[in-house]
Amino acid sequence: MLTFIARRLLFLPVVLIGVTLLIFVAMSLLSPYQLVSTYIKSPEELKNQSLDDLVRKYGLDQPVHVRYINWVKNLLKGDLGYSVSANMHVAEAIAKRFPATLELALFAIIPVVLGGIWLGTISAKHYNKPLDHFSRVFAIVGWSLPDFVFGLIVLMIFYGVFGWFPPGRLSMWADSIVLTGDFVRYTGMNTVDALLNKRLDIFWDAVRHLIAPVITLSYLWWAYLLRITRSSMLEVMNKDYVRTARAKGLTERVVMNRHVRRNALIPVATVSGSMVLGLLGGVVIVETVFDYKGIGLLTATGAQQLDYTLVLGTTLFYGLLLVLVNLVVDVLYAIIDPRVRLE
Amino acid sequence: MKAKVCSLVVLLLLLTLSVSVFAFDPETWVYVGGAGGPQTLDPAAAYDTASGEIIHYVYDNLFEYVGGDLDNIGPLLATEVPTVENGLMSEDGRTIRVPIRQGVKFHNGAELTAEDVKYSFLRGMLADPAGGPMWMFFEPLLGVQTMRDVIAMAGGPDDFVDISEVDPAILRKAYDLVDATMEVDGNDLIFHLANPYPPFINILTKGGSWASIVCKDWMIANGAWDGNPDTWPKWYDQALEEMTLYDKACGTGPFKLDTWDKSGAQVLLSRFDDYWRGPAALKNVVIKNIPEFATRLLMLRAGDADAIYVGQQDLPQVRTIPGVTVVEDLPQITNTVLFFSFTIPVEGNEDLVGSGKLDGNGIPSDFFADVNVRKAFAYAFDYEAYLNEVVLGAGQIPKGPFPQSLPYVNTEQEYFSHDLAKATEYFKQAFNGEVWEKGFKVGIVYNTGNDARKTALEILEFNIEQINPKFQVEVIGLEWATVLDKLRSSSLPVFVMGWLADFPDTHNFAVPFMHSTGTFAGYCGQGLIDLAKEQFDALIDAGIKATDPAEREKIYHELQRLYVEQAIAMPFMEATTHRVMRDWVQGFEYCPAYAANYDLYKISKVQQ
Amino acid sequence: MKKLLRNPLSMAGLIILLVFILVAVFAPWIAPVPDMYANNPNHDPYRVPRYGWGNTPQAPSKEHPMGLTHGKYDIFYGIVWGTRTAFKVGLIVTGVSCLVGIVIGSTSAYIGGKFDEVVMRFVDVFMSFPFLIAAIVITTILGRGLDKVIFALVLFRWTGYARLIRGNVLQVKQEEYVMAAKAGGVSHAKILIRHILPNTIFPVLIQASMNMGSIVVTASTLSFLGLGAPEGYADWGQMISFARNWILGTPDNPLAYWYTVVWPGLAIVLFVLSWNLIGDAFRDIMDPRIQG
Repeated sequence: MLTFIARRLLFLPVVLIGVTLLIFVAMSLLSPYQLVSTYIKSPEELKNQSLDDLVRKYGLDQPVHVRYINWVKNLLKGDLGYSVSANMHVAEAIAKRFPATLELALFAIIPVVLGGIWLGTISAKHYNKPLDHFSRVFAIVGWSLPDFVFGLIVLMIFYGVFGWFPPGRLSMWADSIVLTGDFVRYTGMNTVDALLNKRLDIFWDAVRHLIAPVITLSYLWWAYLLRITRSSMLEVMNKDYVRTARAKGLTERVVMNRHVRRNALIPVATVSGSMVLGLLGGVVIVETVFDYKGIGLLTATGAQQLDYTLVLGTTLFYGLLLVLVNLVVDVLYAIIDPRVRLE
Repeated sequence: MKAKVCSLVVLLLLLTLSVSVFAFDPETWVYVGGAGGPQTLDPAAAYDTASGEIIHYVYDNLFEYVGGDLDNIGPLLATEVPTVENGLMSEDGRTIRVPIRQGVKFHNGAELTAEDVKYSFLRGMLADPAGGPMWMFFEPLLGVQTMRDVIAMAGGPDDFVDISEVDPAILRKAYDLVDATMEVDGNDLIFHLANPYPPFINILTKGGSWASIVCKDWMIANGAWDGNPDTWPKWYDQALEEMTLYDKACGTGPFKLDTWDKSGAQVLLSRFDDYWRGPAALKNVVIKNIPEFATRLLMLRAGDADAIYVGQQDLPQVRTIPGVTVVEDLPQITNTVLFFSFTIPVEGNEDLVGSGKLDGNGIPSDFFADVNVRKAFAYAFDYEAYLNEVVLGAGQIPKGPFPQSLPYVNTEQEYFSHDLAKATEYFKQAFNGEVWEKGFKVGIVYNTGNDARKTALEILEFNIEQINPKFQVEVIGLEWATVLDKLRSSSLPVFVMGWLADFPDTHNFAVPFMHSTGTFAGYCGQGLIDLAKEQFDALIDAGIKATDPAEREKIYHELQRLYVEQAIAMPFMEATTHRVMRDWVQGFEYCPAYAANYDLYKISKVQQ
Repeated sequence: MKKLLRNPLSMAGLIILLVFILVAVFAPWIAPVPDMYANNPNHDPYRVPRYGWGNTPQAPSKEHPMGLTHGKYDIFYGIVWGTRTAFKVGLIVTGVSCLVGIVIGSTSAYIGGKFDEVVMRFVDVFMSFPFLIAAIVITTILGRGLDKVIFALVLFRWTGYARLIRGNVLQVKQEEYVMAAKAGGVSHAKILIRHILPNTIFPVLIQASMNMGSIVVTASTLSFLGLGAPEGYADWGQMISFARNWILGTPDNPLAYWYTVVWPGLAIVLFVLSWNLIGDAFRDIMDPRIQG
């Protein structure tokens, strides 16, 4: 087990180099004047700037390998560079925006997983009966609806009509408290920090701003989880040991809870890992619609503006996250299912 | 178990709702703009409108446009506007004395002096960040464009990569040249211009964020240039984030900078109670950026936003909302122009020029160098349709390259119109009839994301293809980065761009559109550069030096006539703008020269 | 087969899919190219016709049964020809990425050891890219266009299949019948193809069917971000992202522009639904471990 983990971790730098190298290779396909558009973001900003001066100032005409080496050198010193699109150092940008997405993902995971499992269980229990059909269709509509459509509808109903859940992470009054001195930032997550600062009102305000995006995300992901749970449960439900349990005279409820569900949840657990990663990668559209400034939106904006410094930094970060999460999932999988041997 | 979970969830929901609902706050202002945000808050580097907006609230200039009227410049931090009549400006316009107001406080409590004013401009010029606005000082004061040019004037190289390469003696000489253009005399600042420059006062007027006045002592205390003639190179062309005023500010304006929350894309300001004109009505200001229109709209309807940015095409949705005021038909100093490249590189440009030859499958490199082709295109466009259907009437058809909101524009000039018969005639004359016979294929480009420009090109495509089935026009959308790259090599046969005035003077349009060293000459190929050198350069240089308004009018009218008669390009729209706000917003005043959307000093909120 | 027909949901899925297939095949007759373009030999039928230069959508009428969306594009035309686009993109992306994924994933799992580790790290590299970012980067470099979208989608989809089949192959590798075949001296290739793949491939196929639909959804996200097919191309994602600024309607009538959302939305939802139901039906039939 330990050697397995060690070997995986040793490969980590290889993965990260591969990822960043790919980006630099992509960058080499662009001309310096395409890259200078990071500094002149739109045609409206094009005045009589000398493009050559800008190219020279930011070193955009240097060959790619030179820039890669410089970047790696700086990285080893702990400097990820400055992001023009985010107006701050890359490390700072990630530190400020990632907690927002993390918070959203954590708050979303619970209803997604619970709701998905519940729906999946119902579907499996009532296999091929109307309830099964209904819950499947219900979930699939969520899966197939483009997220911005659903997001805007949620925003319209819960904010436009009812005025309950406004966009953004915090209300203005809470924001001004958080941004000015008194409030201490521990994690960057508004809910956690509010509790640690003993401000219950900010805590509830933060939760309130999470509800609409979480509703949107939940509905969008339920189908995914429902399907996995349902097919997994159906599989297990027909296994021999379940039949044995039934034959032994155990009640259906006990059979379901103790034997079926526990084993059926194995694939759910592994899938949750990739789901968390997906959520952490940043749900760009939800962040756009609800003005929830997380890392997804940060990276998407940076990519659109060709801010390679930022994209490199966030991809590096995300790559790190991915390898670690996959490692954890693989280890857990091996622990849970003894038939799988880690080689 | 399930019941317990459900009731817990409901309880939680109710708890969240219990906290703070919307309440009308007459002292807080929230503006939500679209995508984007400030790039820097340093007046010497900022050249985009989002940055200019924040600078407008935090700093003051020497002069302002009284009541937003471009023809009425009044004193602000100066006590008088220099003119020849009041003796503050010399007859030849080259020596200008500006008396500085006393008793004005900066945000840190220091008092404004003429020394601060000189420092503001001097440090800006010595820093001259690449791509910045400081050329507007170099041109009138020294007759050049950049600090690099000044170093060359002092005998140094103009192609150095790092300023440390240059001999310190030469750098000192360069410093002296710049220093000599501004002289502090008691409470006055005297400018010494290289040549007469009629719009110099406009450059210094509010709306020109680059002419904001900073506090010298505060700057030095915060790590800026200390005023020493030999140390200035250390601050030359720094990266934006290294400059002192990047995200900090100390001005004399009605609002102080509290925070620039970059990750939250918002800027927070608060009232400066010791503002020399008296404190503003608003106490807190929040300028946010949210790219999604629907979200902004909901915030406006809920009252969480006092005003928002609404794109032209979304305006019809907003007009009917109760409690919302829409102010329309606000004149701007801008135009949208269809440009032709006179010399198009053929290699590697097949998507746009096809075969590169006049054989019906492409266009040759000098296709648009033929004035008949240009005129044919200009008469094929349906100006009225664009104005009425795309821009929904918010604007007017141009009369030339200079927007009619500027002085010295000939509104009687005969201009292009939608006339397919004329267009056919010109096509038949083009390239001695070869164009008509063989036909052509060309790709015309807009930058993706811009609906209106795409539609303009589709209108052109539709009309041209009606004239002759051998004419093939393809409308192509390219990413802005690619457009910029292709512009540099003048590879776009036809492209649409706009120009927004820096300051309200015709010269500011004449140079980019018609001078051989102007922005668009560079993007329109060697053919235009040569033509400009031959026909326009001398006139433009004379126009900026002439102090007599009648003479200037003659010159700019002539330039306009030449431009239109030769169809150098096809200006097709001078759009007006609009503002969308809640009806409790009072005191809204508009000035076409201001970057700020709302002049917040004059705004108050009164619930209806 | 009988089971398929007995299940009402599977039947529904099959019928919906058949309708889409018919619409795709007969598109040129159902929504013919309008006269104004008919004479132009170079006209691309996938370009949705515009009936005006303005932007405000128009409600359904006799000439335009589904109405006009933002930019005055004809919704009916866009939906009909968009069916072809949906199939094209879905089939190519799923087909190619599935193939690549299966080949790489099963081989890697079968060979195991260091080879498997290296390949999996290679997979990790691809998965380290948040897909949207990669799509944006690719489009900026290569330009917009449906083929670039397909390329980007394939590039980042095969890893999912690879991982999935790898997991299954790892499990099945230990099963007795595989051990027996190995002991019997059967060649590796035959074992892989004849014994392992048939028992591991179903989850992949089911996943593929579910993905057929989700690809359309992803493509619409790309359209929303301004990537994907060029503006005005017949693509459901484009059609629905046109609705973006009109979803809120007017204050007195929030549903004023319902047709800009409903028609393309319905097309996407039904398409995904049909593939999902069919995928489920497949699983129900082919997996012998599940009985009614």
